[in-house]
Amino acid sequence: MPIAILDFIAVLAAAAALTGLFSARGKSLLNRDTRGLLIGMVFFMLAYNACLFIEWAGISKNLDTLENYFGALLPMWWIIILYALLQDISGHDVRQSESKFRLIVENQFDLILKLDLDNHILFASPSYCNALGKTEEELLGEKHLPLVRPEVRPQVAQALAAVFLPPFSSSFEEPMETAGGDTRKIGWLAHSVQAEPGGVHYIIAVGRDITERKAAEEELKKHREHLEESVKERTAELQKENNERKQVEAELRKAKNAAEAANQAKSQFLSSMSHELRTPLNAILGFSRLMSRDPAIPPGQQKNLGIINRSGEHLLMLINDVLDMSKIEAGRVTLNLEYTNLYHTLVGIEEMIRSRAEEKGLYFTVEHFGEINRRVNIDGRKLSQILINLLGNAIKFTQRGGILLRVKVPDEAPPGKDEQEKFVLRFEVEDTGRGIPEQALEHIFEPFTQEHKDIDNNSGTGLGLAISKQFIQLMGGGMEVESGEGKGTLFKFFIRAEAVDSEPEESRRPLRRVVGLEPGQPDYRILIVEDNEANRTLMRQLLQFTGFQVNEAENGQKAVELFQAWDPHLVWMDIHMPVMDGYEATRQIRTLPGGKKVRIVALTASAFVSDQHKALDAGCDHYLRKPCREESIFETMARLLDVKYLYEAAPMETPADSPPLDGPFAVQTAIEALPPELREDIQKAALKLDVQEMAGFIEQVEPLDEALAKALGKAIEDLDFEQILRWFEPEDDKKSHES
Amino acid sequence: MIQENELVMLLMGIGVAIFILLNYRRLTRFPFIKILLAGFCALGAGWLLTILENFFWGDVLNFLEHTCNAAGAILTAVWIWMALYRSGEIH
Repeated sequence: MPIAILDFIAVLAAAAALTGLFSARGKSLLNRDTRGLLIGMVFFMLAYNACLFIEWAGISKNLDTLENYFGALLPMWWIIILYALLQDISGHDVRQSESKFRLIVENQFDLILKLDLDNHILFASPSYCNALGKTEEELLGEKHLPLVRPEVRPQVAQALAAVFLPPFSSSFEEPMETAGGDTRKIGWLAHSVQAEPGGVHYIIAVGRDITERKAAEEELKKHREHLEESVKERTAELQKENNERKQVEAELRKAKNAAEAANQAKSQFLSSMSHELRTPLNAILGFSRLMSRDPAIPPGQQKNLGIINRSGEHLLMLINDVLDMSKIEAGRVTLNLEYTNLYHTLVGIEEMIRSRAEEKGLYFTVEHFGEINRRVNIDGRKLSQILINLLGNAIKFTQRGGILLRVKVPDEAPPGKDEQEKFVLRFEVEDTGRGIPEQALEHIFEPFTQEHKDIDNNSGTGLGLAISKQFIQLMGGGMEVESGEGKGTLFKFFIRAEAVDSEPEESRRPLRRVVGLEPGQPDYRILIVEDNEANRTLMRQLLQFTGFQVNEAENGQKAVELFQAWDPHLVWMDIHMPVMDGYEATRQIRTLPGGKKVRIVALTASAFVSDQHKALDAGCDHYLRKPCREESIFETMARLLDVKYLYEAAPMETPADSPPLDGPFAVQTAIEALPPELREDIQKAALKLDVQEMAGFIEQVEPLDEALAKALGKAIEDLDFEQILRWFEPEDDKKSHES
Repeated sequence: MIQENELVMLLMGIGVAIFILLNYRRLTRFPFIKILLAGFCALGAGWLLTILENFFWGDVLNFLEHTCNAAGAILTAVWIWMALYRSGEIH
């Protein structure tokens, strides 16, 4: 009985399985065939178990045949079922693969077509169908070419036919009318494919909408063309600009060359002018000095000669200044530091300025503070130039009143010579002139700037203040100006100077006048080569007077001939000469017998260092710049020939420790040393124009200061009481007068 | 006494078992396939027991044979229901 129950359970289970199988119709896990086979198997299981149950339940007997039949077939059904399941899996894989690829194809934006050899559509992707507005069913089996626009059909047919030839692919473009009415540009790529070797060929064509790309390409092409045009235009513009620039450059180069040529011409001009001016100046200065040696000339004339000499020196200085300006422009100005006695520099300037001031009826006062006798290392020539320029301007622009020069020198010299320890010299030039308008003050130091041109159109070049300022800056100083219209002008400047502990040997040595040659020396033969007759004569007289044997040549060629004939010890060789210049003559002399040992000194009126170097390069032993002082000439000869001179007993007029009282500035200094009562008495006597009384006072002064007594005596002799009054004018009165 | 059909069933069942072993990896891609195979094993055991009952413990082994038959039917039914109604896809 329990067995019957088990069989019954089995029957129920099999029945349930059958129920499940039948009710599972439409489920996708098992395909229809597999499900049918499974039904068969379960049916046999049901039938077998039903037979068992019927037998064991005793419902019926002799079901063995059926039982054996169903039971024996049951394992076979299992095999079938399991095999079917495996097939199902394979089929499922295929379906899944198909599904996957279909999914891919159906979701492609690209258009996909499968065509047979006769151009029938075997497959059309949804994108293609959508583009044409047709269903896949409508398209399947249709010919492809009729769907193509007539005008491109031949090309499309040709491209599709080409896929059966190597490389078995072709591409083409086709305008396609879409369902929306648009015309889209489709780019196709077609391949021929074979499903299996020896099988039928198909055409797979994949199309892509390239409308935007084409439009972009067109746009790009347009831009490129535009860009090319722009580039061409720009290139043309650049070419034009380049040409213009080249033209400008060429013009600039031309202008530069012209400027350089002009500059060269200017230098040449300056060199020539320098030469032309110095040559006669050499004669003026030389002869005036030569004449001053003549004892027959009375003292009054000697004084005149001194003025000529000093004026000549000043003129020479002016020429040098013109050259300096050109050097400033070229940035080639240098300081020529030398031992300078400040006192003597100021006295020289004072003398020069005073006479000019007095000519114009102006007073000129020099005030000094501190150690005025200090020895310093400065560029004295430049300082003089600055002061003369400022004082000259003051005289020029002052109609009434006068000019005041203040000099401030530190009492104590710094211990060293370092830049910081240089002491400062301060100068002030004040006048009572018409002054300078405020707006003009800004430009007053600019070159070629002149105020008050109405006063004297021909006086000065307008370079004076510019040069002065440059010089002051070069000397480590600075300059400023205070002025106003109708208020006079005050120029203040300072320079830095090095203190000199002891006076250099050379400058301490008194410059004594050479009067002859020491006996026991050879007869020195001196050849003077000079084209300018005046200078030649001057030189000859100077040297002959001293005792030299002198010969002359007027040009280089004659000098060479004379050298061979006369064999001089020394040649004074002018550089710029007709026929043959000094350079060539020197070179030729050096090649002649005895030419190596002869001493040749170049005399050049050129201010340019390059010319002087050129002279040395040509073979000269030394050079002197014209106009040259006689002491320089003798000193050079002494150095080169070892000549010994005889000197006159009294030294020449030269800076000395005890300054002569030959200038009002010096007189004032001496007057200040007199007792105040005596100063008052002399002043009163001068006011009364009482010559007798003045003579009495001079006698009182003589034991105190002989030089001052002489100066006063001379003033009385000249009846120059105004001068005496100016000297003795009290300091306070001077200041109030100046203010 | 052993019946011919019982022997045929056993031999054919062994053949099915070999087939299963050979294709086991592929068959496991079916959902709940172990239940179905367990059902087959139960049936196979029944076919073996029906042979063995002829030699010893006839009643007991006969009972066990029918138990296996019932278990096989039940497991098959369970698989069919689970595979068809609770499973979506083949792995």
